[in-house]
Amino acid sequence: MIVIWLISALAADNPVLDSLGEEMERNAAELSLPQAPPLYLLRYQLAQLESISMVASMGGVVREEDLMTNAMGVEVRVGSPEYDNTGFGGWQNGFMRTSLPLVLTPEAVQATAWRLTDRAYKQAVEQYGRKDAQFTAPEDYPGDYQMLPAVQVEIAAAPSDGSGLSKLALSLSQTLSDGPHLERSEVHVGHETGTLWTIDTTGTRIGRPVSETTMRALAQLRTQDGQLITHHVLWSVPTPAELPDAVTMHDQVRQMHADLNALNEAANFDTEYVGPVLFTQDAAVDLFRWLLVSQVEGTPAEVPFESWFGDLGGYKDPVRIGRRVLPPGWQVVDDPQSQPDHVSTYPWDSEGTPAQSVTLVADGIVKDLLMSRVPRKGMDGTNGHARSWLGARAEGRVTQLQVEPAKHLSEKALHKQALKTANAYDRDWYLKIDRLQEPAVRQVGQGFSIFSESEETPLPQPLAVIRVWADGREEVLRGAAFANVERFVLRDIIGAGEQRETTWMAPMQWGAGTTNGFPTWTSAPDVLIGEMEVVPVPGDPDDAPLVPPPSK
Amino acid sequence: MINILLYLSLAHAASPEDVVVAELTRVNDILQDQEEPPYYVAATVIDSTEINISARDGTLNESGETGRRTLDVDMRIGDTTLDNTHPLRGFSALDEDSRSPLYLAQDSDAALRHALWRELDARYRDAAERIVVVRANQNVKVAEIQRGQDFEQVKASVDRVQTPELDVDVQAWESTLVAISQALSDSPAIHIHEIALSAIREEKTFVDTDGSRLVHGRTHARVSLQASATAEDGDVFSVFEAIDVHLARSLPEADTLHQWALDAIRRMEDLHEAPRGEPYSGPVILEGQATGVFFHEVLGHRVEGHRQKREDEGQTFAKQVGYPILPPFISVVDDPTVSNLAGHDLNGFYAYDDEGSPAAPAQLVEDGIFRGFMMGRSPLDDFAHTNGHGRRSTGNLPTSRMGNTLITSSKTVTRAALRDQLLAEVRQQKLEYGYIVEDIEGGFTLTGRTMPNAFNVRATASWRVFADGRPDELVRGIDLVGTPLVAFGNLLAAGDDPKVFNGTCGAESGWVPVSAVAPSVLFSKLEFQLKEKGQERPPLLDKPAQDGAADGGDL
Repeated sequence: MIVIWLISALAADNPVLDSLGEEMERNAAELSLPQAPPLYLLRYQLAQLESISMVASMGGVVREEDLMTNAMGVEVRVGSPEYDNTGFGGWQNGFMRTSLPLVLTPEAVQATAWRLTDRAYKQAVEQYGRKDAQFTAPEDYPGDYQMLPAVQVEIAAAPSDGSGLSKLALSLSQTLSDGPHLERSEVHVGHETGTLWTIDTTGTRIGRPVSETTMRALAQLRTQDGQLITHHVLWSVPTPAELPDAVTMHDQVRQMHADLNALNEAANFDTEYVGPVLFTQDAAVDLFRWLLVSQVEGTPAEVPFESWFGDLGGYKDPVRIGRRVLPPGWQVVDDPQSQPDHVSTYPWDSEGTPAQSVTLVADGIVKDLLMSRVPRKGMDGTNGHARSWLGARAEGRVTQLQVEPAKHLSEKALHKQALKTANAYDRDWYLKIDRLQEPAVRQVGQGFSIFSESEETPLPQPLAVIRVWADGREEVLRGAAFANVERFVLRDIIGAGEQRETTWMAPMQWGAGTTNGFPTWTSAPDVLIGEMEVVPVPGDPDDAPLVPPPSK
Repeated sequence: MINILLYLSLAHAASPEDVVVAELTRVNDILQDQEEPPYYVAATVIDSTEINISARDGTLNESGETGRRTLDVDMRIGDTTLDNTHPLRGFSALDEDSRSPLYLAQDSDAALRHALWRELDARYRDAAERIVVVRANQNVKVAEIQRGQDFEQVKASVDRVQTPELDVDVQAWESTLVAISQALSDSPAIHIHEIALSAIREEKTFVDTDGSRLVHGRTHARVSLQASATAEDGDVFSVFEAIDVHLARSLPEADTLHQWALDAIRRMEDLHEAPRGEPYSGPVILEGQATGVFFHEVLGHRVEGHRQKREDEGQTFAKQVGYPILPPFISVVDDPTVSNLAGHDLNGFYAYDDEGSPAAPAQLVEDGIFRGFMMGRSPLDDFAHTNGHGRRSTGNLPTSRMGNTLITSSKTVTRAALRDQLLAEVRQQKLEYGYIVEDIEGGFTLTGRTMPNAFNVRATASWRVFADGRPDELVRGIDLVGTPLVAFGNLLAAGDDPKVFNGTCGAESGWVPVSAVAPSVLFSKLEFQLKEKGQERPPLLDKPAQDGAADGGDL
């Protein structure tokens, strides 16, 4: 249901956008400072959205905002595409964003753009100076930006009605208040519908629909021995109409609650375990989310800015084409249009480049990377995978990731192989994990801390581990965590099973929340890892409540 | 006995009060079986509704209503002599007891009950840890200078006061604010502005184990105008106007607000032309609002009762009771019971403080003699009782804070006479000029011992008054600074023109609404220091021409 017009047919219909265009041209033509590098690209993004943001708990509203969200971002590049103010650490870098008034007028948009561009331009010039002072580009420096011809498209999407979301969230949250007490239970709603406009001085003018409804029911349970166990159900769909029916959603929430209550009664994991681990269901997808994704997103890290309070930038793991990341025979593809009905899909990325299917891993070896128009050595630029929000550099990100093994084993065969591997460790059982805890959920209500929960491993804590015996018996245990996990563990996959798929929220440049982020679809098989370390993480009894909960 | 009284109240229909009473009682009963049970527990639920409307750049910026419910629990373990809230001396990671505000679902008894259970339990466990640390701290540190117990147990207060509903005509206000914003947008002298209406209704439910049960609240509305610009030298200068009232219907008419806009434009143009001041020491008149802020910072924060007990506080006036600290014609009282004065609603008005005590006047200075402190339920040896000044914003522990600080003079002169006295002082000190501080945006003070015990009153408009009769000259870029005892020693005279300052004060117990009412006063000597100056160039391009506005020219 996507309609595309040439923008020339629509230009007269949007005086706000026209006024922004006028201000862009004025700024591009007139902004200059003595001895400053020339402004070679000015880009504006304008978001005109109707949005709902809500938190419900136990049948009541904690917070609810139902409003127009207007905002704009600016990107100022000075110098030349070969070497400009970007790609260098720090935050005063020429990318800025600000809110816009509730009622947009051409005059208000122009005035805001005037103020914002002025600040972003000055920052860009100063950042260029900082970069120039600290960084000498090597001869094979790939440049900072890939200039491409203008794109002019508008993709219209039908507005979606979010008026029933509040009632639904209240009802779901009421469901969580039935039954045994949780420490915290909430339903978060994020709903946006509208248009994100991008215009720049190359002549690009893109109108892309924003249509996303994300709901997350979350629950935190405090066990009697003080462990915090968190669980959630996430729905992220293009419009509310595409949510599951209310009965299904309530059933999913009830199941989550039941799972948590069962865990409350479960025994603690009390073994220092080294041996095979079978990742199934959501945990299978999560394994690739946490260990593979960062190895295929190709936008280079910013050159570190050596500031007086330490280096800024350069935090990303090095990404290498030609490195083995998976066993032989495995393939990984990201195609933003492979699931055309999924909320993450797009025909043009956030820089206006047509989306492409990219084979990232072939025969287990990295062959290609997800790119925006920021080049890297050996790759000139974009392959249509730029994802960004206002006021941030567009970076190559995953969108719809398909991880395929060389061979799918049956559940029985995987079990057999896991047992055989466990035997080599003198065990007659192995561990299975079907869900990891979501950090964005675990952080809810924990307050600000300068010390985050210890994350010595890139894999979050499992919801539970399941001890699987030779005869198929399963014992659910809580209070376990991974130890010493590195990305190379994916090369130690010794078997793959049924293909799973799930939706998760990839963090934006400034982090993730319960409903914000880039919706991302991933399909991956159950996998058996040859060796992992899993250790007990007992709770602190001092964290357990002394007083029994109130009666219902 | 307390528990029985609390339970009796449950005959009423369900209300936040009933839920709080029942759950607080249930949890407290259970905690009494602990080895170290709480000796005092209080819970405060605040239900608030807020309407915010604002305009900028000639259009509606924001218009919406939000509601929220918050919960605060105060838990005391030990006894009134020494409890878990006692300040720790030396560095300690447990030193502060502030926490993030706790938001909970509105209109849900189950959610309130659940939040009370969790919070009471969590606060008890925190308190049980802290009392151990407090005792260890007492053990290893030198003997403390004892200035009173940690807590005063008081007679319970029971009262239920109806809080008026919000009465904002949203559509009318939207139109008014947009029209005014359009006028401000047209001025090239203003780079950014906002005109806003904020109206809030708060209802507090306070319950404690002493038997207090209070339901009371406030409504408040503020219309404000803020405009600023950057000068060629980087100085960011601004104009701020605000009117605070208890009920939105008392806010000024649109004509008054339009006049604000015109005045703001004129003042911004004047400020742009005004030179930056220079460091200065000499005679100064503080006009009414500036005087109020001056007394708030210089005297008020130093006579908050709890500060007299902390070893890290400067305690400027701790031993001054009965001694003169101001000229004999000056008296100061902090009286939160005053709702309106000289036709102005006072922001610092309240019926009960955040510790459940009835508000009462605190006589601070009488005819120049220092008389006492503002007190919450943290007593001093010589001031053993609260006078209803224990205040906080949600998420913080209450401490003694100001409400309405009223400065009066038994000897006044006219404005003209005060100016003559200023000029006489200027001439006597053989200076070229003195200063009149006409407008301020606030101030701050440092009351501890590590940093200089100084104050800063942030002036936005000060006038040079020349001894040779030249016209007064507006200057920008200077702030009033000094130390309290020297400053008070230089107060010479007061005018007959009391003015009201309404604002919000931030300190360790959070942000609370306050007022100060004061006449203009003349000091023989005060000091100005240079205000920080922005280093950003003004916008490189002219402000875009607004529809119907003149072209953006050079400022």
